[in-house]
Amino acid sequence: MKGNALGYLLRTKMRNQLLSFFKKPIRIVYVVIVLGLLAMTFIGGKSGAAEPDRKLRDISELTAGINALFILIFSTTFNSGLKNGGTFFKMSDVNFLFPSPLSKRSVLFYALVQQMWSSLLIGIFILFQYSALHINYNLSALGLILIFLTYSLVTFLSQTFAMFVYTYVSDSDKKRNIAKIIFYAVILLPISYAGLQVLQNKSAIIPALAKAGNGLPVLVFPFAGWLGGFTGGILKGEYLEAAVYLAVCAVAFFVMLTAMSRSKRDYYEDVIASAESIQSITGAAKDGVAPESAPRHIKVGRTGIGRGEGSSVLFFKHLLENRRLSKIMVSPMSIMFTLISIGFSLFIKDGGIFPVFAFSIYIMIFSVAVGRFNRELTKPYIYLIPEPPMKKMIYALAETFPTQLVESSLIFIPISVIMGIDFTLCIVCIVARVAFSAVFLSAGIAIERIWGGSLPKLAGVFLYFLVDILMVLPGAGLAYLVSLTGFQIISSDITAILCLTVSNILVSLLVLYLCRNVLQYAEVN
Amino acid sequence: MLQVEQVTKKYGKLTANRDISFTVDEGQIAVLLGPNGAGKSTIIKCISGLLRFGGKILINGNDNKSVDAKRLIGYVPEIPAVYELLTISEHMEFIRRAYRLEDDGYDKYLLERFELWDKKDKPGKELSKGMQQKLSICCTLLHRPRVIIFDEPMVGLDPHAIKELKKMFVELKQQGCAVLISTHMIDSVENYWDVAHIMINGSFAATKYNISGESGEKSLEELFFEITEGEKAGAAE
Repeated sequence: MKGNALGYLLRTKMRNQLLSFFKKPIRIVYVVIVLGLLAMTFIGGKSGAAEPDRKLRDISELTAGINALFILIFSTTFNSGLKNGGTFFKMSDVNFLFPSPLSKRSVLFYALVQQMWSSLLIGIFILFQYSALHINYNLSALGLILIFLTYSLVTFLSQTFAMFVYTYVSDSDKKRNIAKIIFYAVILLPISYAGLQVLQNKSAIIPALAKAGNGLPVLVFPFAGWLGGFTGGILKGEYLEAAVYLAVCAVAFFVMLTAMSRSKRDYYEDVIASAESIQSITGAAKDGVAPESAPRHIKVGRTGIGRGEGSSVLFFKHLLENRRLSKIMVSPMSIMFTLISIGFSLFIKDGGIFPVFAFSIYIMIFSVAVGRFNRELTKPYIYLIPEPPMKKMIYALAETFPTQLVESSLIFIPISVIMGIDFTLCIVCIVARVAFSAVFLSAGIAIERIWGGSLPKLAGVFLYFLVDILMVLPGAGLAYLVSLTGFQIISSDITAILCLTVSNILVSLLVLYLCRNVLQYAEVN
Repeated sequence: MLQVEQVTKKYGKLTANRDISFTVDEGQIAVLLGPNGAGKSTIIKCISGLLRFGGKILINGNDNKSVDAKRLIGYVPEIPAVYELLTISEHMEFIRRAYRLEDDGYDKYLLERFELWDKKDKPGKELSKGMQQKLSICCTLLHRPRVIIFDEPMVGLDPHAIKELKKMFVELKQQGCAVLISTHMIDSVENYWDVAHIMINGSFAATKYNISGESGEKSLEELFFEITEGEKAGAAE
C-alpha cells in the first residue's frame, strides 16, 4: 500500500472515533448534555454579570491563579513523567510501530500530533468556569478559550518535556536524582517567592499572592510560566509582553524537538514501561475504578492485617491499604483536594462558610467515587466471602468514615482559622461533610443495586450525580422550611447545616437498608 | 455436588448463555471447552455468584448465592484478582480471616508449593502476571473448597506451576471435590478430565465422557475441531 502509513493511521483513528458516535447514539446524548451544561454556565455568567451589586475583582488575581494552575499541572505531570518516562504512546503503538521500518522521528511526530488532541480534551473542565470568571473578572468567552488552549498546551508541553528529560537521565539513577534536585529547586523558587510576599504582607494575603503570582520568579518557570505570561499579557492587553513569552516558549519547544529527533538515544525502550502502565490504567478505567495511585515501589513497612474475622476483615484490610498508600490515612489525591479547598477559602474569605462548605462537598463526590468500596466491587472476594451480604456491605463501607473524618478535619480546621469561624461551626461542618460521604456512598450502592454492572460507565457517572442530587434534596428542603420558621440552633448557618446532616444521615440509612442485599445482586465489573 | 439447571444469562440483547444445564459430581473433573466468546467465562461467573442469571444453580443442594454455598465454592478468575497494596502473606491472612479459618499452616504449604513463600512480603503490585495467578490460585484453595471453578488457570503460569496445578487437580479429584475447568488448552486437560462440554454461541454443542478403554472414539481434540470448524463452515454457507 502506498502513502504515509502514520498519516493513514491518524486519519483512520479520527474517522473511527467520529463514526463511533453514530454507532452509539448514547454518546451523542452525553455531548448534548455537556453542551447544555456549558450553555447554562454561559447564561448563568451573563445573568450574574448583569446584577447591579456586581463587584469586579483585580484581574491580576486571575492571572496569578492561571500561573499557579499551569505550574501545578506542569510540575505534577513532569514529576510523574520523570519517574516512569510518561509517554504519549499506547501499547498498540509499541507493538505495531516500534518494530516497523518507520523512522523513529516520524513515529515521534505521529505521537506528538496524537497527544495534542488528547491534551485538548483534558482542559475541557476550564470551559465550565466561565460563570465565576466572567462575574468576578469580566472574562470574555474568547479569554476563556485562550485559557483553555494554553492550559492544554501546558499539559502537552509538560509531557513532552518529561519525555525529553527522561530519555537523557533514564540510564542512571545518579542522573535521574540530579534532574529531580534541579526540578525541585525550580519549583521552590516561585513557592518561596510567594511565601516571602505573604510574610511581608500578612494583613493583605490575597493581594500579596496576586503580586507573587505575576512576579518574575513565577514567569520564568519553564513553559508553564512562559505560557502563563503569554495568557496574562493577552488578558491585560499587554500584547508585546505576551508575544515575548510566546516566542520564548516556541523557541524552547523547537530546540527540544530538534534535540529529540536528532538524538541518537533510543527512546523506544524508555517508553515501553510507561505504555504498559497506561494500558493498565485504561483497563482499570474501563472497569469504572481508577487504579491505585501507589508508587511503583510500595513501602511495605509493618506487615499483617492483624484484626478482623469474617466480614470485619474487610474494614481492617482497607485501613491497612490506606496506611500503605499514605501515612495520614488520606490519599495524595485527597491531599490535593484539601489544599484546593483551603486555597478556595482564601479567595472567598468574606463570603461566609457556605461556598467553602459546598466546594469541599463537591470535590468529595470524586474521592468517594474512587473509594475502597468501589474498588472492592471489582474483585471477586467480597462476593465470595461466606458472610451475610449486609454485614459485608457495612464493613466494606466503614473505612470511608474515619478517612472522611480525617480529610474533613484537615480541610475545616485550617479554614476555620483562615475565615475566623468559631469552633462549633467547624465541628458541625466536619460532621456534616462526613454525613455527605454517606449520601454519596449510598447513591453509588443504589445504582449498583438497581442496574448492577450492566450500566455504561459514562451513564453511571451521570446517574451518580443525579442520584446524589435527589438524595440531598430532602435536606435542602428541610433547611429551607426551618429557616422560614425562624427556628435557630446557635446560628442560622449551624441550623441549616444540621438540617442537611440529619436528613442526609436518615436518607443514607434508608437507602442502605433498602439496598442491604446489594452484594447478592451486584455483578462483578 | 454442582447442579446447573437451565441457566440463561443476557447482557442487554446479547444472550451469553442460553438454557445451560449440567452437573459436576464429587470427585469429578469437568472441562468447558469452546472458542473465544462462547460463553465459558460467563457461566463460570454465574456459578461463582458474580452475575445475575435466570435458572437455578445449586452447590450441594444450596442456592449458589447462599452463605452455605459460598463456604463450599472456590473460584480462580481468568484475570488474577490481587490487591495491589497487600503482600502475598497478607492476601492469605485476609482469606483466612474472612473465612474464619484456623491458622494451621496450610497457607505456608500452598505458597511453598507454588514457589511464593520466599516472596511473601512482596506487595501485589510488584508481582508478575504469573505470580499473581499463582497467588490467586493459593487464595482460592486456602479454605479447602469442595466445588472449585478454574477459569483459564494455566494462562501466564511457568512450567513448574503448570505441573503443580495439574497435580493439584488430580489431588482435588481424589479428595472428592467437584472441579470445573474452563480452558483453551485441550492438551493440558487430556489426561485427567471426566466429562467435557464443548460450548458454542452460549450453548453446549456436545458433551463427551472420558471412558477408559473405549476404542474407535474420537479424541477430545478431534471432537472439538469437528464441532467448532463445522460451525464455522456452516456459518460461511
